[in-house]
Amino acid sequence: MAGQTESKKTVKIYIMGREYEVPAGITIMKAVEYAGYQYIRGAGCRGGFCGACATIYRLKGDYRLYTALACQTTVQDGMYLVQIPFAPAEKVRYNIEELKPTGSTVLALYPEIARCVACNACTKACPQELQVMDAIQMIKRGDIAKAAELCFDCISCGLCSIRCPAEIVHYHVFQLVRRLYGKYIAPKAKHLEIRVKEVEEGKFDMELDNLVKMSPTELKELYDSRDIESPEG
Amino acid sequence: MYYPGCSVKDYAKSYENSAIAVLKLFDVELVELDRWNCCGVVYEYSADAVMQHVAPLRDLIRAQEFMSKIGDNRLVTLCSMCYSTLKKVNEIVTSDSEKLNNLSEYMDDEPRYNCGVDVKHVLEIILDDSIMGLKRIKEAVKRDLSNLRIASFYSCSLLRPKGIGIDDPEDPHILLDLISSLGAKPIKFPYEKRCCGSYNVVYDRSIVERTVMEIVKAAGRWGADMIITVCPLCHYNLNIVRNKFNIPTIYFTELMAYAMGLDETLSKETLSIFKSKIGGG
Amino acid sequence: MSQKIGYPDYMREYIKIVEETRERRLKERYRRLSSDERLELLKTWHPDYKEGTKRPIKIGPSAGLMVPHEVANLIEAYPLIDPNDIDLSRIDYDVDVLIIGSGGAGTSAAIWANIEGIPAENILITTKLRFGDANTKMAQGGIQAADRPNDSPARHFLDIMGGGLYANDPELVRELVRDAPFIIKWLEDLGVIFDKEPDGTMIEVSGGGASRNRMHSCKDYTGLEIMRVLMDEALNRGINVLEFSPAIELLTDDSGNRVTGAILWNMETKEYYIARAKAVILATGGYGRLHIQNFPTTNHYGATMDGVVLAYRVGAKLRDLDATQYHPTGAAYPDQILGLLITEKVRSMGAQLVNIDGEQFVYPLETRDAVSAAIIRECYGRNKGVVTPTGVRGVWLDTPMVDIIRGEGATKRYLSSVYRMYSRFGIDVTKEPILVFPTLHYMNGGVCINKYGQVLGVNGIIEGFFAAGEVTGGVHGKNRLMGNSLLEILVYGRRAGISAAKYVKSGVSPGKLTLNHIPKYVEELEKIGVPKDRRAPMLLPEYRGEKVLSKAIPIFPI
Repeated sequence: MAGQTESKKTVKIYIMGREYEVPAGITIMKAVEYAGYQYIRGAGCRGGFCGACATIYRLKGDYRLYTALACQTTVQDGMYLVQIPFAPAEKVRYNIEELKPTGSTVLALYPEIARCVACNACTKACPQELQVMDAIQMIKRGDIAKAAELCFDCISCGLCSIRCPAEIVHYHVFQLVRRLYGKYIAPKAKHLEIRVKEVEEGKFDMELDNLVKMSPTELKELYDSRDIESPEG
Repeated sequence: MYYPGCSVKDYAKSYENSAIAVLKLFDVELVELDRWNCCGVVYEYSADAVMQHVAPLRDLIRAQEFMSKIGDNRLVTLCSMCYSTLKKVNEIVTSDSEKLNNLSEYMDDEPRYNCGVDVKHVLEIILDDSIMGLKRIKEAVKRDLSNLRIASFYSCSLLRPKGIGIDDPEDPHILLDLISSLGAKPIKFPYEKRCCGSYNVVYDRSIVERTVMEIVKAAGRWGADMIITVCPLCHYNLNIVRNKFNIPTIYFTELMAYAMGLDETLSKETLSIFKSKIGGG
Repeated sequence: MSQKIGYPDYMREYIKIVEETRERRLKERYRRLSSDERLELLKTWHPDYKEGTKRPIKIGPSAGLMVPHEVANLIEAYPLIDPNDIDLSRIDYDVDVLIIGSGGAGTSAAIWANIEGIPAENILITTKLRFGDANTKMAQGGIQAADRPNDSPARHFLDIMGGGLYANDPELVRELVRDAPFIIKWLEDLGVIFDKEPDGTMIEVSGGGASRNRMHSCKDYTGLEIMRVLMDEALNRGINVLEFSPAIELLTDDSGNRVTGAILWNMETKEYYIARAKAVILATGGYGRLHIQNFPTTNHYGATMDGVVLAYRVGAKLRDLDATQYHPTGAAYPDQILGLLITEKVRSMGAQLVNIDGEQFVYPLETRDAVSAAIIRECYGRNKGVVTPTGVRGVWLDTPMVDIIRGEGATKRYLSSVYRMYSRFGIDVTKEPILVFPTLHYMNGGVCINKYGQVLGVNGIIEGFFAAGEVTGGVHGKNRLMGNSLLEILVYGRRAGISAAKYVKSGVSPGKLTLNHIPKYVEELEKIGVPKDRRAPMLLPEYRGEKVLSKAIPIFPI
């Protein structure tokens, strides 16, 4: 299997229609910069977590529309690309304290979900390879827990929303679903509640006060002799 | 194989609970598809040539994938609207290979559908003598329902169009037969095959309110205590005026469950409805 | 996709060696370093100790402080604006609280200022890129808090002090560990989805230098999950966010000891805006894009240390900027993801670091500075690293061990972002190990604050000026532990927000807007002969043309 730089040293790509020759094997993001553009929009974490670099492209001789994250995708010869730094959408405002964790809650705030025709365009567009349509379907039948699980790795790039014929803004819907799950459906951590009370009541204050007054030498002695829990618990 | 549909998992959970329990009494097991999507009935009535069929066809493909696991090609639904959509699309793609090609090309993310799934409404299973049948239903009844006068409401999607509907659209009788075999008094009334107003309740509630007023008022004039239905949407619409006439609408499977003593599958509300109707009359 | 090429053949041969030793290594626990051994390792192999990489700052309140050249070049630099060009009378934004930076610290500051009573319309967050574009989103592994019965905030305190080489400000550390359980509870109530057991108990894993397993995580998207919930909450509350509008200069009043606002710059239209605020909170994050010592970085595009520059000009003291954190496990192959973060959680879940011979050479959960130094020693001192086709050196992180130890599916479930990152390039991390090398990760030091989040100058607190998060120094000393950064931004973001709100509610009037501090600073710069073309803040790194390729390989001749 050849290494990346062996077969072809450069590739031709088209940035918004303009042809550029760039080194083979670099990411779309770096290729655009190599071509002389400085990103203002369209670059965020550069690591695949923030969805800022949502890209749509076609390949020479291929009618299909492909989607990608520019920072995580290598350039290909004959790539015609454009970036979508923003998917227009209104974020509905709500008070999470006043909501119930049901499908009808989500439907009431984002009624366009009912228009989902199960065409699967969203799933095909997702650069994280999530089961986007299934997640929307779970909401329609009221299974908030399953929907939260399916959409957890969503980075809100908006490519699904751009492609959706029902004009659903998936990432806004998913944000609500996840918060409903985390706040109302996931079981609460009891030990956490106990510890918060203990801290409030000052249980650790004296110990901490003593530690704060210690010299580095004294601290080092304590530090070197402390017992360490093994990673397996 | 069992296709639940969206309403049955949320608003109409009692429909599912009672149906599954009743069928189980007769050794009929409903095995839910491991993956399914909304039947898309809302779009079924749209004018688009491709989009309207995508959702139900996807479900038929799911059933096709699931078939090999349980060795049965029958896909049973509870909601009559889901039934209608799934069956309609099944007929269309089976009879029109060009349409099937069109859809398959669009849905290239799925395996091709080879038209082997048989869509059934749960009533067809219930009334099938080789599986359940009225005689065995009658034998399983534990309660005396002779005091109950029950009107049948069919839901348009169960009766129409021709070839899809499972009963005579002009003079249907299957629900009446069912009510009789359960020991209750069947009430046939002229609005039993009327449309309840369907999704208009979302856009213009007054349309539905006017319609269901007529329907439920008529049921009352013909002497009904309650109405049974096969569709969660009819259930919702008819119940808008239940208090006005003191005539609640329930799912037919809830009636069956009550008749057969499966009280644990019924909600407190439904049980109290039965108690009040049987006791007081 | 044509990029799913996986490993070249010769690297696959090396992987075979790793596989051969794996069974034996599963039972091995490499010896931990003593404190003295750790110090010795750092002095010899940690980039911070390399000769010729630092110099003392020559001007300002922290003159004499040793900092990397890249940092000094921005501090000893001219402003982007000429005060004569700025019309300070035309005020575009007039608010109670102005927050510069929209990461975890800035956003939680905004929410808590609102909770504390400042109306949402009087709070303005201004940010260089989009709302939430910050290092917070990329934090993966976890957030620390001592909330289990066998653990205590005092223990957490000790871990932090030892990890920071006792250079930390103990007051700041005390508040951090005390607030920690409350912060986790607050996040849980907001709806953050933590990894939990079926009964609700938090699943907490180990981290480098931590004596108890207290990393709370949200799979390996912890930072993303927290950030997006905070963003949702801030927007629900109606807090306004100005995007693509970094602050390029702070404003002060006549006294010279109060910050009264900032000059914001619209990066797209190239206009400036004058923002007047009763309280200003600085939350601008770190400096990864300075590529200190030519290292690649895990940081987001805008991490260019703008806040430190702005704060220094108005008299803030700085500390511990000589302590640069290199995350030990940055991706070393393939080139497309060079330098990106591979979370410490992978090691928490059992993966070992292994050299070209398939042998361990350091305990995987030492503090970060020690592990980084050990990897550099392994690659450049002992020559036991693997060299990639583009000349990058690295060691193996034996990821297949995770599923073996934690059960099949553990990686896909709890490390799904690592799995996904590599599957895009044809590597299944549950079957093949990955190559790693240290990458520039975190700014340990920064602006001096007290436990209320108030910024400190030579004469004590600078009025109306607050700071929180990575831009500040003192909490972590010379080396931050895993999971304490997410904690710090929320603890001190909250404190800064509350302090700012209290300050506003005490009845202060908006201050006078001047740029008086600029001519003084410029005079100092001219005195030491700083070239006129050196300007700051940097705002964005320069990657156009060949430059974008030159950051690809860290040249590291020791």
